[in-house]
Amino acid sequence: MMDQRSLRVFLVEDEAILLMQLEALVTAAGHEVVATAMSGEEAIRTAETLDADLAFVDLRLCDGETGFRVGRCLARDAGIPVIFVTANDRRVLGGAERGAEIDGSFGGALGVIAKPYTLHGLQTALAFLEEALIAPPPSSAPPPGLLIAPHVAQRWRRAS
Amino acid sequence: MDNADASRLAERTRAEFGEIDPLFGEIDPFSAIIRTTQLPMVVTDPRRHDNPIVFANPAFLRMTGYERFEVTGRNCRFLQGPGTCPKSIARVREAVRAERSIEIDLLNYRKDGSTFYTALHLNPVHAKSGTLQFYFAAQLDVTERYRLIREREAENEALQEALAVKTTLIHEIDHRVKNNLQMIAAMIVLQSQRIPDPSTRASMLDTLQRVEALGTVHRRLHQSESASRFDIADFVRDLVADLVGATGRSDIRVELDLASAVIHADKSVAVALLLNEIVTNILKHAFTEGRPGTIAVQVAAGSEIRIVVEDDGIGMPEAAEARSTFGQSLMGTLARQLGARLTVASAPRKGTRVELILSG
Repeated sequence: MMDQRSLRVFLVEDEAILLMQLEALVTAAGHEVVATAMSGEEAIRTAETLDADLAFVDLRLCDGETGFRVGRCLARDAGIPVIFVTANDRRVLGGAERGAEIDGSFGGALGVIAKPYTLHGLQTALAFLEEALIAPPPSSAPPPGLLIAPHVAQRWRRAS
Repeated sequence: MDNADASRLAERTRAEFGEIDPLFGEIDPFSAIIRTTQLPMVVTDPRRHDNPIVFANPAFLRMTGYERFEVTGRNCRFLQGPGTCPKSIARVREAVRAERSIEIDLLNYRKDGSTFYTALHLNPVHAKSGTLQFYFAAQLDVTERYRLIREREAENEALQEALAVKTTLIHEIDHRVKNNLQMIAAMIVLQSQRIPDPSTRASMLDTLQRVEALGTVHRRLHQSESASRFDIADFVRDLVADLVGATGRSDIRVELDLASAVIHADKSVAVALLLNEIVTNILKHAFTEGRPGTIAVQVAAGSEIRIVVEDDGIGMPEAAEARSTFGQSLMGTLARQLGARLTVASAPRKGTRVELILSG
């Protein structure tokens, strides 16, 4: 699928310290952070010219609940796989509070990482995504901290 | 009352529809009852053009605010207004057309334009021959009932709104707690990466794991519906997978035998921190120098909750030495906080067995 070993990663996180940790972690795992954004507006602007293999998107950004919009923009318009990072995972999983827009389909995202995540949880999630995106289907089940959208998980199961 | 009586009554009542004979009224008990009852009543005559009111009792006049001469000879629809439900009107019309009885609530208008709800009971009165003679309508004022319903609805709406505000607030606080725990963890991670001294860095990572254990508690708590019940089994599963995974070693086997053991949220943080210390200690001391092994965790819930963490490693360091570490003293104090019994048995080359007993 991709003729490369590492991922080009886009990070959308409005908390400075969390953004720094994500950057450090992605870089330490041998991947490249191609761009970062600290607001929904900045993320959407950046997405126009973005060349990335994966995006981590915080659901609640400083300019409101714009994570879903960013996710849609990246996943549907730019075709970039999106992982939502959220302290409100029930919103994505249940969807009841926000309506059918996000229900079941994970808002178009590939998966969800629930906050608070552990360092190890994030590392294993990234290692799994590396394999899943570079040489799909992944050989193992996703780690506990990473929830994969049902339709994608099903596709991988069928392909393996 | 037999049919002959009924037709005589009808005749007599009919005689009253025009001029009221006060003498007749006084001697007829039915007429007297209808005049004095608090229940508003009208009689209409469908054989006349447009089914007009031919009799209205005083209660009806009091309820509607009209004089007798203003209602007699008119079809009942003058009581309706723009607020009256058109579907209800159609149903009444259909019942009249089909000569059926009907019970229905209607919004009606008084002479002064004010509205009231009435529970209409409309019955056709047929002669013995089967021909329709009258409609008899009793109308009970049920405005108060509607007012109470509206009041209740308004109260419910206000409560729903208040609940929505509270729910939003709880989500907001939950979100902040999780985000702050995440940030504390991130600070420790970022800081520890710049520390050259391995033992200082190891201490920082111990702290990271304690903070992460707190994070896992909050994540688990808020995944449950009530956010007040905490299942130790779920937590142990997350904790052990994470801590063993974080060692980066594939030669440590994990055996879990977990029964669901639900405790109150109050105790969740202390239990989580205690379990974190137990498992961390075992991983740190049992399998040193590349020694492979197994860590087994058992959770059993009865009248008490019994948690056993065992390994087949080299055994804990000497008790005196162990007591002096922060981790050991934290374990002791957490057990005290929980009112739990904590026993550590360790023998060289036989591993360590830690048992924690919590009252349920």
